[in-house]
Amino acid sequence: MSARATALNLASFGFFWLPGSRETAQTLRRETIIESMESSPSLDGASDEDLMELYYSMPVALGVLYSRYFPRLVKYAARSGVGDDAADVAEEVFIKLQMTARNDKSRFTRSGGTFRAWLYRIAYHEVVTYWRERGRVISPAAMCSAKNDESVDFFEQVASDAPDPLQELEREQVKDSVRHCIDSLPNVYRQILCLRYLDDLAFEDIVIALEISLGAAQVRVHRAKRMVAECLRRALHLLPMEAK
Amino acid sequence: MNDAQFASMVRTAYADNPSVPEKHPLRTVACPPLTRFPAGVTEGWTAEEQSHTQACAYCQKVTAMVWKEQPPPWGTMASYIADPELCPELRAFQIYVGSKGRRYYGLVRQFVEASSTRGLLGEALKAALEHTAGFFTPLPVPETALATATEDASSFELAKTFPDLGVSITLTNAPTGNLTVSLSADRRYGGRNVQVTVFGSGEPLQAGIRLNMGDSGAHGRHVFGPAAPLLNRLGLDCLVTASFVDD
Repeated sequence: MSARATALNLASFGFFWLPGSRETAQTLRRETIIESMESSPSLDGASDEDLMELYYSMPVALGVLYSRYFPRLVKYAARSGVGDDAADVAEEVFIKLQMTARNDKSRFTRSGGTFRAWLYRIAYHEVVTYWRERGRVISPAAMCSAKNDESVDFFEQVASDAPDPLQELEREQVKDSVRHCIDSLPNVYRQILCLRYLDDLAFEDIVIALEISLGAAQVRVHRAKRMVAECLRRALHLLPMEAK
Repeated sequence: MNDAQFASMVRTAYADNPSVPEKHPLRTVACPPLTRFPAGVTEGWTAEEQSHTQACAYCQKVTAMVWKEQPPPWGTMASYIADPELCPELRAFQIYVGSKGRRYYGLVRQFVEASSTRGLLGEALKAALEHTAGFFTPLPVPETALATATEDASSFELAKTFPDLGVSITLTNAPTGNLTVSLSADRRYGGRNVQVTVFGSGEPLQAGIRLNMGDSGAHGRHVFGPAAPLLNRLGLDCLVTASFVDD
């Protein structure tokens, strides 16, 4: 099945083939990607970056990215406290992605980083804007000064104090406790913890998504894990540190 | 507990969360594809698309999302302010004005109020809008508000051409420090009078300009005065309009 036929098939799912302008520098790469699609039954196997590259000449490629990321972005927005408007925020991310791509065709390829990192960067800004419009400010720098000089790994202690936390997860109340501890983290920590462990972003992608340094990202994740550990210690009625 | 175990614990804890939708819950099979919206909203829908998008809650919502990235034509916004009930994109405007559109709403509202004091209401305003050029533009921070700004940094030239009307408007802060508006128009406008207004956060700037014939068409200009105090008066954004007053 040709790439064009694939695109036309995808049109039935609500995505158009719209011919776009081609720029010499990127045309060859796009055509190479399209040729590789000729032997593929669908665009599903293409990488995010290839699909984004294809989008300029084959907007239907965005449909595959939408299928991959819309549910994840809804979850991301929901975890950021957006609640009922999470689907709106996720939809807005895809509109912003397209408007950015229309205005600056090499934006994503020029800037380096994975497509996923850029998508979450847009999502992060949408969440911040969402809260700003409602009079709540989320400061990305709020807790950057967290000290990283503690030699004690609090979570390590929780893990050793508990009978077996991983087995305990089978029990519903323990799952609830983990969720409660993460959900009640300050936003700056909850967000980075979820990006790292639920959205599977590498530290290098988190750096781009949140526009922070690698060191800041690592410190925040470390501190977030400690806060979860302390929260779990209380929730699971483990002995306080001083009693050990 | 190592990082992989921690990750496993977090994923397990969230694994049975309620499922999320695969697409926006308000989206219908009749809605245009998401990839069609940027062009549809900014360059125009087909008649068939328009009849759907104007009545659809999802499409109105996404239209407002596109406007957040690229503001709607100011004249469309003026029509909405003048008579919301007649606005075909009413729901989208309500969403837009409730968020980022607030930035421009006040400027356009000033235009509508100024028009109404001249008796331009309803259909008369719509007719007047067809002979009025206008554009939103951010303004540079005035020199006095930025101690380190140099004289060069504070000079600017903001130009906009309206091919349909055959008019170009240029707002400049010349090296002399004066804020000036210049108009260039087709020869057919020679001898015509144009009312130029610059709406900002303070009192608007106004000028009546007569277009004189030149070699390359009709031209006119007006010097408002020293730029720094005027830019302070206008604020960060402005709406520049030019209306043919003797139509």
